[in-house]
Amino acid sequence: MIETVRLTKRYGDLTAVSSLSLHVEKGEIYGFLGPNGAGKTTTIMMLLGLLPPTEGEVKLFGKSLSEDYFNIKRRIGVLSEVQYLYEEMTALEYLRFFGELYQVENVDERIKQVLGQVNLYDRRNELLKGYSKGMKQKLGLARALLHDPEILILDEPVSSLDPYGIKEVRDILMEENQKGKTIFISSHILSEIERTCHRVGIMNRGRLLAEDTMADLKRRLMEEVELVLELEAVTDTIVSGLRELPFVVSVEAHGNRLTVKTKADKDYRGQISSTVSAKGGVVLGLRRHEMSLEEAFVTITENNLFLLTKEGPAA
Amino acid sequence: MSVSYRMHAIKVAAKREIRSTLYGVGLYVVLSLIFLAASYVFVNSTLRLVADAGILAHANPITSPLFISMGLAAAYLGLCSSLAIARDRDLGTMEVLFYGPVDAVSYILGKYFHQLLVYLVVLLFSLVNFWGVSLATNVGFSSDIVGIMLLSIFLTSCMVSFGILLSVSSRRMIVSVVLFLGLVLFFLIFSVVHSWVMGIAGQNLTTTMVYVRVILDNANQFIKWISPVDYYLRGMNAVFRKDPSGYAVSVISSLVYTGVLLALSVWMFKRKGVRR
Amino acid sequence: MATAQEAEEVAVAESQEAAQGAEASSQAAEQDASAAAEAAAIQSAVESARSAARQAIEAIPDPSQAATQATSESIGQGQPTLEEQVVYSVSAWTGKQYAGTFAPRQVNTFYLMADEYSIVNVQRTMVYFWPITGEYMADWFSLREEVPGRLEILKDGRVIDTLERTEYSYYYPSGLSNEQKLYIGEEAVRIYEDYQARLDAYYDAVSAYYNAQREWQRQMDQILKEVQETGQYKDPSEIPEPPKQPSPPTDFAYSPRTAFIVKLPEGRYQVRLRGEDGQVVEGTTKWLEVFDARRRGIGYSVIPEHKWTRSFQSNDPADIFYLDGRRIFYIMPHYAREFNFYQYVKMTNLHKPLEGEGTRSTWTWAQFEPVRGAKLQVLRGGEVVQEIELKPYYVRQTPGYALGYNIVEFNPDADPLLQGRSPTFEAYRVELEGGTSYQLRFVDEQGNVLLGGVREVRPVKAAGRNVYAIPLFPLAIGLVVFAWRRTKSGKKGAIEA
Repeated sequence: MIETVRLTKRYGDLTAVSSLSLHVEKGEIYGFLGPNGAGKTTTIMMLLGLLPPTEGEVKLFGKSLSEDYFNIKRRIGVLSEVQYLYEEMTALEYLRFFGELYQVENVDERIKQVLGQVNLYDRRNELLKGYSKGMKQKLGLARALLHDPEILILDEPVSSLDPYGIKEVRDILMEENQKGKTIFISSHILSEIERTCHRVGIMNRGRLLAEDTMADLKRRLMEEVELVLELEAVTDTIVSGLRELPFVVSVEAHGNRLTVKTKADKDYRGQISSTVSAKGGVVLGLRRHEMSLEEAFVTITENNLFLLTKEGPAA
Repeated sequence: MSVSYRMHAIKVAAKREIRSTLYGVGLYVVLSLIFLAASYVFVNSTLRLVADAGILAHANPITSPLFISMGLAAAYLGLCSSLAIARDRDLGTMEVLFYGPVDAVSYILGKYFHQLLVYLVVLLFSLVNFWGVSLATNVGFSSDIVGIMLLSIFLTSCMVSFGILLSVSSRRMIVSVVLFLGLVLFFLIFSVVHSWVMGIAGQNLTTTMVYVRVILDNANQFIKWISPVDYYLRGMNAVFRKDPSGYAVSVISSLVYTGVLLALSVWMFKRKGVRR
Repeated sequence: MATAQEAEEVAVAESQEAAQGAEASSQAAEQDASAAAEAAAIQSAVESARSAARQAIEAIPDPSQAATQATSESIGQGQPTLEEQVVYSVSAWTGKQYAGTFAPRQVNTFYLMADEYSIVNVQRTMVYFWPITGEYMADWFSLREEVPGRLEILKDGRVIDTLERTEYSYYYPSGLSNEQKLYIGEEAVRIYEDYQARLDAYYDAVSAYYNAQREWQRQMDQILKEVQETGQYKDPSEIPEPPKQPSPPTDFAYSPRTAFIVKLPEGRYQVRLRGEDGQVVEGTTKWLEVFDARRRGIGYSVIPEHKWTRSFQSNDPADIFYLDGRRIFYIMPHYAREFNFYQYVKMTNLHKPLEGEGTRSTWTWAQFEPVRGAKLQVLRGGEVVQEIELKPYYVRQTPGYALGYNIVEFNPDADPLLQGRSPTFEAYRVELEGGTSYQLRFVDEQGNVLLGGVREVRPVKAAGRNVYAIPLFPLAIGLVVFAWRRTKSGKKGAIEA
């Protein structure tokens, strides 16, 4: 549905996007991550044809914009990071305008539906000048959904929302995805990406550093696994016994809790558990600490870049 | 297919803009000021002439104040045009349009037709205003005025397309406005000075003035084709001289001028892109 | 018997008488000689004046050439390139007078009014282009040589007429600044000779006047002397009337010249000069556009009573007269024709290439001769309410230091102050009340309305506050829209879209 082939954007000596090749399948929710200045927005602008690329090409629905500009644009819904609204209009007038622009059928009915989805129907006759930032963002989402596009491109869709609003948006996106929509989300709220996206692309300094499923990405990034054991009592015997294990990297004790870091090549929970038992300990609880996307994100952009070239998942 | 999408986008964009204009107070305030200025001119020229002389022969005394008000309206709309695109860019509302089925051509033409539609509204107000003034003073309202108003649409088109070109060229609203006002003033002053110098009898010219005259005349050969003010003055002249072919030439040249400037605007817009 | 003393006294008296008689004879002889010399001097002066006047009249340049003669200043400046050319000098009828121009080699078309006499000549002269004023100029004074030949006029390539040079003269019945007429052929000679004869008669009358004046002066001196000597005043009937100074002719006639007299119907022609050798003279083939009026009508020259020096013209029948209250004004109608501006201007400005450029599709009204024998009708609501005749009027300055004047009907019989004077103008006096619309129209003696002679008169209402109140209506509408918008968009809740 969305494809870029060696997409590049240069501003003089500065390369904002370098040879970006990504691919988003139909029905996928694709998360696009990167710190400020990574080139995410530039990429989105090129996807939408708002910025001409220096090199490379963009294909939407298998075609470039120049081949079928209007038809492609009619099938995309876009929500930008900052909402630029016609503040002299009401929400109803605003959506009617876009409804007419996209030639939406039964536009009044559809407006009622999308405003209901974002919980703004009761505020439809107020001037947009009086809307809060969160309301504007929700209205932007309503506008993006109004013409029932096949692709949704969202840039920081929940940045201005409260937790309730974030959940609302998440639910809407999931619902839309279930209808078959392809969703491309650029965000730095990593927990939301983690919860929502099927695949994630991580960008930094204009380059796509990683593109994989959540699970695979985290696995590729993990060198160690951290296990947290809760014991009845922690003894030196147990600690030293664990340290002797060849796959154990470190053991730290805090009260009756042990934090054991092991290598990430295998699942060593069984061996850890039996070693503790052998040393006279009683395991009350054992859990594995998953690297969050945030941790993975931070790790990727600052360290261990070479890890991204490893093939196959870690254990 | 894309032509119909484009036409549709132009229509929808222009409709939105005109609704926004009509719902605002700005246009009405400006119109009142323009009509007041025209009334002032009318009272202090035509009516005063009648009062001084006791009798005045004129085929259509409303014509001069009408032209003044239409000229001012055209300049106002040209100024709005010069703001339009730069403002959209500054506010970000341009970007939102381009998320959807709007391209450079439909965007520029949407802006153009918006101003033209506003001008039609202006004409309607003008018709009512001058009909009212003619009724109040009993100077009469001839059918010539219809022809004048029709011509003024084309002349305003020149001013609007000029404003759009400036708006596309500059990144900031303030730059557009300064450029538009500066250039229009320059063209107006040049036109007046040029007419005055050309009108000086040859035997009264000093050598320096001869050179000034030659320079001004040579410059005028170029300026008369790029200045929207000149198109307006030429059209006005054709009406005052009751010159039907001058009228036709005015219409055609205005259309060509508009077409060239709009094409240039589209080209520049595509080069600059939507994003700042 | 007379005594010697008596004889001596008689002899003395006789000798005294004889001496007195001799003295008187001597004085009379002296006076006669002085009077004769004076008369001879006067006669000589009058003859000189007559001769100078005749020479001056004959030396007056043709108007067409006077208008296009290069000034000495321009000839002296910048050493322009003079080129000897064969040119067409044209005196074209403009409706009111003949105006001159010339077509140099560079101009290949000239223009004349249809069905009117115009004067065309082919001459050799020095021509140059004066860039400051953008015109061609000719030095007629240094070279003005007629090119002999006959003027052929062609239409569609076929010669339709061949003209010989004919005598013509311009005649001004009321003086050089007034109406101008053209006389052709023998009539031109006759009118000039008639004018010369009257001019001669005038100079003879001047001579007689001076002689009579001298004689009267002598008589008055004599009377004065007698009064001084006798102390007795003379009866007024004994005082001789002074001689009346003769009036010069008020008309003027140019001495006849020869040229081609052209009068053609509307159309496009070619002209060329066929020389005496039978060949077409090089450079004389040109196009001639003869144009006619698009519209004809009656033009109004209007003199407002309270500003009689600020008259204005209305030639376009579409003109409306706007009146401010009760007004009196005077109308002098003339025939008017509407011509193509370019052709009309070019007709008398061939030597100015830029003149008239860009005006090919504009139109202008030209004033022709005054309308005679018509009446002016004033209508109100379609009914004739006044019928006005043409009358002479006189502008009388009010006496004293205050500025001002009155326009009165010129009737010397009724007003002795007007005797010996001439009317200032002849016009139709119109007096209209304010607040009502009228129509003015000219009708001929049969009551037919003259074409293009109708004008609508509308009273203008005082501007008042309305003129400044009406422009505020857009603001009122704007405020209503604004208020409505605020009300509509301020409402929350379930308002149906």
